[in-house]
Amino acid sequence: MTASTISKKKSYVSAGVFALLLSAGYLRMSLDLPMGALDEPGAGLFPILVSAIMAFASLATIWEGIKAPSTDAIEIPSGSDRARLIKLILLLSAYFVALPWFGYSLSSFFFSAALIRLLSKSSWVQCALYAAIMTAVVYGVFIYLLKVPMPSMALGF
Amino acid sequence: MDAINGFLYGLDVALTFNNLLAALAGALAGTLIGVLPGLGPTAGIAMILPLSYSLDPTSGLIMMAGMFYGAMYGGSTTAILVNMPGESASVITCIDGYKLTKKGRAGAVLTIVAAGSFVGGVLSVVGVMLFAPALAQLGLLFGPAEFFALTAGGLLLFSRISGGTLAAGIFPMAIGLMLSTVGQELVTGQDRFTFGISDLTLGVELVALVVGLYGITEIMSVVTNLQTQVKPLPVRLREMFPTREEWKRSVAPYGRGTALGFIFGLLPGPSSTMASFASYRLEKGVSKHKEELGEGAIEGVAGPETANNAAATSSMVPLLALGIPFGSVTALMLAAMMVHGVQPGPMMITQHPEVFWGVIASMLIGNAMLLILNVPLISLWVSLLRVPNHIFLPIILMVATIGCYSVRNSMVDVYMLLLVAFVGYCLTKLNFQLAPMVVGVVLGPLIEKHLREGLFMSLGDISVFYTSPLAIGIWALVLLVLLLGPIQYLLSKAFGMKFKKIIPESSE
Repeated sequence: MTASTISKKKSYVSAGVFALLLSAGYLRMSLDLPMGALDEPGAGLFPILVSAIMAFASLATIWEGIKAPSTDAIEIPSGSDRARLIKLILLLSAYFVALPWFGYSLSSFFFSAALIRLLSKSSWVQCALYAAIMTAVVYGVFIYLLKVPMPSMALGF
Repeated sequence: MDAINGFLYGLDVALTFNNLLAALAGALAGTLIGVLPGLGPTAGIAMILPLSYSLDPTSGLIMMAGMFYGAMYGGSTTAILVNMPGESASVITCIDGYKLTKKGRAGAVLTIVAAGSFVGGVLSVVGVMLFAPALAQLGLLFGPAEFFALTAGGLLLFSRISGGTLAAGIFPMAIGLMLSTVGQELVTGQDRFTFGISDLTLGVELVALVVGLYGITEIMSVVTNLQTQVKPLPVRLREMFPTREEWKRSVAPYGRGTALGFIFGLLPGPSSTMASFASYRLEKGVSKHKEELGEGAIEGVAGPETANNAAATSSMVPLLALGIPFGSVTALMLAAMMVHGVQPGPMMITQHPEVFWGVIASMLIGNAMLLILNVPLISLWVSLLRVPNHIFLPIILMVATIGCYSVRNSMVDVYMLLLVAFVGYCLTKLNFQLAPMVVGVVLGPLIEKHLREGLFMSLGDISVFYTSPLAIGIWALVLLVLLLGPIQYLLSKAFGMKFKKIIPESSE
């Protein structure tokens, strides 16, 4: 694996600040919910407590970031490993967007063919063959036998 | 119904054709999940959660329990054969397991592990059988204040014990609690944080959350480490027989591992992982062959593997008796029970005895199935390890998508899968724990319910939460465990005392 590093200090502080802003936004929305009274608490009470917990967790993260030695680093993938990860995320996004439009079988076929190609040195023909078999097996077991309802296009596929 | 009669009744339930089939399917699927990298027990169980909805509650839970301890067994196979733990509870098994494999004892070690998992599982079932009804009796004394202390305190403890720093536990826990408030609130029907998306009215779907967090996140890691796939050597049936010496040396670690595992399973936290690490530590301290540990000693495999299976079994006690999950897998089981309208807790033993005793009895049968099937099937599991990543990863992703969509026929849940996976990947990179987020999502509504019930019943008097002796006892225990770290720190600073961690930092 090829990896590069980012500073732990910076990552923790950034994550903490982001979460602190998130908890502030969450608190703002919680205040719009009915509070009720102590003997009949409303829907807003628990979210307010949760926003306080989130704020505390964010501050703890920032504190740990500040206290972390500047030499501490977090490994992140780089080079071809990072490219593969990004391609996986893009493929998954395309697959999920395509599902309601093209139906389960067609989307799954193209998705798995592209993923096999990404993860191996197989030719496109081999990828298509593997993908067709996999999609058919998964379709047969889950959609045909177990009757799991999935989005379908024309002819029920 | 006393424990013996309850267990006999449970056997009647578990021995029906459907339930036997559910136990077998669960044990086999669990082993498969444990063996395959990219899928741990939590993600695997989440993926079959929708399937369990179509079964009756008893069969569904029997299947899920079977998967849990099946995955514990399967995880050790990869640890022993290719030095890669299938799940975190098998991390410690790699040390001696893989060294024994290099000495040509792989088959024998796998048999010792299968037998140990059986012993740990079965003896733990006896403990569950005796302990769970007693705890349920105690649970009948609990009111909202005590349940609030148990759920909120348990979650707090869980997030601290899960490993890593303070932020590593409570940060994901807070995200989990936030996510638990999304959707229609149960008392007044008020929509919260749905942003006008009708699919979110029912809340964040647990299957999407867990499969995204554990399954897709792990697949992202596998994809970035593609070249590290190690192929195991074949294991033949005739190599599966341990020597008399190996059996003899495994008996005491079996006993010690079972006792430790059972105790750890009752506590909040990653009980199976902690049990296997604690067992290894214990073997290093008391074993007659302690000098060999780390160099390929059978005790280093027999003890931890027995302990993790015993812990997986006894972790059902707090779930069945009090309705409180102390881990991500039991949290999923709680969710499944609630979908079926079964409310786990002290009343379950009287309201749903078939589920309570059926699940307990099925664990005995499932463990026996694992032992009978897994030893002869070992070559099948080994051959699965040779399936290249580019074949099984697309299949897992397709099945994960089906599992996620099928719960509510919602594309929002599928989109959430990717979003959650991205968050999970970032949190993993920051060394944060994922389990507190899942347990937070499941326990959040229960904490809110007990909090509001307590306030409502006491007419707004908040002292109700800290005046009941039981609640005080629970909070004192929580506080004691939470303060253990700072106390140890102060003692080591003041008197130079040294303390060992159960799970070393490097393994967390």
